[in-house]
Amino acid sequence: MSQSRIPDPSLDAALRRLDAAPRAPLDDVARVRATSVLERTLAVGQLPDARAAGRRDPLVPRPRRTGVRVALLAGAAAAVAVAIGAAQVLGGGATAYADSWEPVPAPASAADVAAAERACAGTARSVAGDGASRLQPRLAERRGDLVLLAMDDGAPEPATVMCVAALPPGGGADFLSGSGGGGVVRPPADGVTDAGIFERTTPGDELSVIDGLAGEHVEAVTVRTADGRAVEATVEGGHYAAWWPGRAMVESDQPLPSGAQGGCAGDCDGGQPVPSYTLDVTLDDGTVLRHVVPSAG
Amino acid sequence: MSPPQPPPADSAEQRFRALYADVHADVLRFVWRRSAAEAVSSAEDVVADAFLAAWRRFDDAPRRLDAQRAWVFGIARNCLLTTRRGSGRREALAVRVNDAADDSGALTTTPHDELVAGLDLAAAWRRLAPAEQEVLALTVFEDLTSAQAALVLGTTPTGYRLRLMRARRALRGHLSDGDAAEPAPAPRRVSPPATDALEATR
Repeated sequence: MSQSRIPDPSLDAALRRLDAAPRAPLDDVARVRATSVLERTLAVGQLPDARAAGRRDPLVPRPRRTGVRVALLAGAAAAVAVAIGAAQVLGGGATAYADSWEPVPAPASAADVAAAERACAGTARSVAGDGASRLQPRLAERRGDLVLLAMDDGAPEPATVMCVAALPPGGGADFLSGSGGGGVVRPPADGVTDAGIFERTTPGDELSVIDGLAGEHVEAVTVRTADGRAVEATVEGGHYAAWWPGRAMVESDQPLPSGAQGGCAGDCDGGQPVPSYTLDVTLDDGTVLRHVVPSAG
Repeated sequence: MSPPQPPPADSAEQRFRALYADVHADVLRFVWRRSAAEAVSSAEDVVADAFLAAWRRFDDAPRRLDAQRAWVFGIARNCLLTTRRGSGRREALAVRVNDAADDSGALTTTPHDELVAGLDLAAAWRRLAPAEQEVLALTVFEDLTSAQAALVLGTTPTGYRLRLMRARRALRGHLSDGDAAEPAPAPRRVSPPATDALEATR
């Protein structure tokens, strides 16, 4: 029998029998010492004053931002430019971009890619710094007037940039939104990573963009949005990406959205944005992984 | 003169006392697994340092008790790394296991259990890189979720799940090598096969 067939629970149970520190009640001496440590801690340690509280203590871990949150924060900075660019390029209609939106993308032309690259150069520099020159276009799609471009530097844990430019027929390219990050491990051949999310939340003018990494056996990704849209993402060059008019995140007072893996770490007291969409991932052997839930971070 | 009053039930001190009562033993076991077998007193010192840091930064603590437990594990881990390396925090901590399982009271209920019990699992464990031991230990011994384990290691839940998948594969690989009792070679990086995509861990 191959060892790879040993299920995780059996392996874990066997390992637990090797535990060097199995659960056992403290003896009297240890209990006294533990009580002494607590009282000494409370007596010696002082809660930080307001000034000290702002400092980082290297001993104290803080939740690391996931790709989702990094991208969301970078996107939030870009949202200022979004509002300006959208008004200039799209004629000021609050939902003008949505009018040209299509659930199924079209390939972007070489000219589209070049124009989007130029429009997104500032985002690339702010995300990748000196490494911006190593970024190469990996995915490009057009939906109506908007061109979405995903780039990375080709590293095993790549720096990635996702950018959207408005490119109406006959018009010039204008930056619309951008985000990026790095250090995400590439997924296995038939997996995807959680997407970075850019979200514009202006009421009546919402827009969401997602971009993640896809394994080589991933053939298609369909985004199922909370408001019932089925958005066919573009899968190309090791990335998947899509945008749609509407929200990708929802404010939740729950630790995790339904079906998510894992528990809540960090500040879990409500009000945290969590992804509201799911993914259907189609592999090149025809397998469809339905309702894949992004992690809440 | 009135007698001293206990702090209000929802005060920071009361919440910290509750945390200490709930997790002190687990933190001691966490440190003990990552310390030399003979270093009982130094393990207790590390735990004391960890709780002192936790109390000083208690405003930063997660609100949920299960996440607080992971948070204190993360502090204890950083204390251990600081003790051993002075400043570096990138190194992983090796995790001890016993030489042989005491199976006298254990029940093997499935063919898989019997298979695993018959293998030299401790030897295979020692062939893992410390980073692989650490990833597995957080799930197996500390019983943390992926999100909680990610907090301890300073990574993301997705990143942790991938590392866990690789660590399990490395352990299985050492078990199936048939020479698990041999001295460990240099740590090797194991790529996950396609079938583990989107593997649910916890």
